[in-house]
Amino acid sequence: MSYSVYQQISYPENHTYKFLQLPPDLLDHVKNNKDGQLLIKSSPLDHDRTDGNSNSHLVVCTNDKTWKLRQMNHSNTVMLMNNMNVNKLGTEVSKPGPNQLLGFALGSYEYELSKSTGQLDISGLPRYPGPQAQGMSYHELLQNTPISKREFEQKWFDLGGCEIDNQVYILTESYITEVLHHIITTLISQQFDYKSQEGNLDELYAMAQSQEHNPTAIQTIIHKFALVTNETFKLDNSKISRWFGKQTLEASRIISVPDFLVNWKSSLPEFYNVPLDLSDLKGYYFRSGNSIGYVDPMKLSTSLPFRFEQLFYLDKSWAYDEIVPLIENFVPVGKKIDSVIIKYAKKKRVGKNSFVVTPRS
Amino acid sequence: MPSASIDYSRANAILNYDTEVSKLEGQDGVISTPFGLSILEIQGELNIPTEPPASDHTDAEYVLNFITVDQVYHAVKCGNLEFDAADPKKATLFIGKSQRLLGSVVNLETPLAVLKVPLGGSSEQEENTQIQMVDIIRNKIIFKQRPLPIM
Repeated sequence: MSYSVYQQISYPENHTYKFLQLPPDLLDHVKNNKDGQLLIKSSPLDHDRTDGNSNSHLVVCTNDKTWKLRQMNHSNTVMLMNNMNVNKLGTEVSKPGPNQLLGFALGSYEYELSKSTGQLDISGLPRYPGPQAQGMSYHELLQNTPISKREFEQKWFDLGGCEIDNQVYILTESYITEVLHHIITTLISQQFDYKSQEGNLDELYAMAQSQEHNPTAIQTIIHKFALVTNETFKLDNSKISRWFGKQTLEASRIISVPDFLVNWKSSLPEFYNVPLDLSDLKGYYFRSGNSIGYVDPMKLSTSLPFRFEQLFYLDKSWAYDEIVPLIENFVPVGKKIDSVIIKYAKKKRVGKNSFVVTPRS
Repeated sequence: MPSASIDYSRANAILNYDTEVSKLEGQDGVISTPFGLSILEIQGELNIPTEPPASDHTDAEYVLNFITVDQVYHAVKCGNLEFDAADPKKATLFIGKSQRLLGSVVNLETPLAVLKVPLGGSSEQEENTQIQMVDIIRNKIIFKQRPLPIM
């Protein structure tokens, strides 16, 4: 069978055609969600940066998944052909005939998608309490953030985001601590069984408003520290104790472990008795003899060799399970954490099942 | 462009075969999607004229290679694509009178969506300015080898 191959040499000015790779889960989405959403998003916040650290990129999002989009150029001639025997595009040609293929677009690249968790950059957002800001609303921020709606919602409350008078803010850590303290104290004063009871959300908001806390800030804090359904909440006590522990550790300089545990206990609301375990704070402390000190993982270098250097500056010998949380997010995809440790440090056995990580020299 | 929506209703219909699209028969079914689209890839550059011939062009045979599309745009004939009767996945592209390329129909590792993207300055209605996913292509006709002479 033979086809005559034609290629257009002039094109419409009001549209063009591009190729987008469809990974299996996105193909499933297109097939199974007739009325679903598919968005291409970029981050204008990054375009506005003047510090030269623009991290701008495009993503493709469904309601709950995000893929990073990369333009993959090639030097081949790729012709998008319309089979005129089928011609669902309804194209008319001046010399119609049997078996014609009409190239109506040329592609010098295709868009490649790779799975991503999406990014939510809060560094430029105003803090609450703080000066009143006039910037973006929640909806505008969601539109301008390269992340899917579901992933955004999951990260938003965890980062302390809230919307007050159509303006997004990030709650300060001290404010979160103060309000969380109030909420727990009030709940306990009302004989609330914080270990197992499910509370009513409306009652909580009403109670918080009577204490002159902002209701949307309460909403953020309760979503951050509780398992929330439509009408109820159940406190996540380990997350709450970890929060107070981290705040106490951050406020201390280097401190002995027993003293720290006493401070941690006294930072919790009265009659709020939850087990305290130093291992819950892994990823936020280093040891120096019998003392511990705070490590802010956000302030460490994102480059692995420098990160190791900074960690060994704090302590020359790290327990294996205490250093892992500080580096695991930076291990290249497909590599094992031990291979990274061996590359930049030494791993030594010091007991039957315990290891330490020390500098190479 | 902080956010742009892709309308994939047509791709959804094509994937579920619930509209007028149906699987194609014969060679059309081997090379084209039910919607009638195919990708033809040549590893190299295709040299074709960029302008249609002037109205007073004297070479009648050359002028015959040109057609108009939708009465506005111009297209030029690049060659003839022939498929092996014994193996419909083997193709030969004859270009002009002196060159031929050997190729084949191969499956794409990742299916490709064809996006129709509106360009700035369009004065059309709002619904036509949305990005549309018009089809999903799963194979292509690829010519990897150097051109061979026609004997």
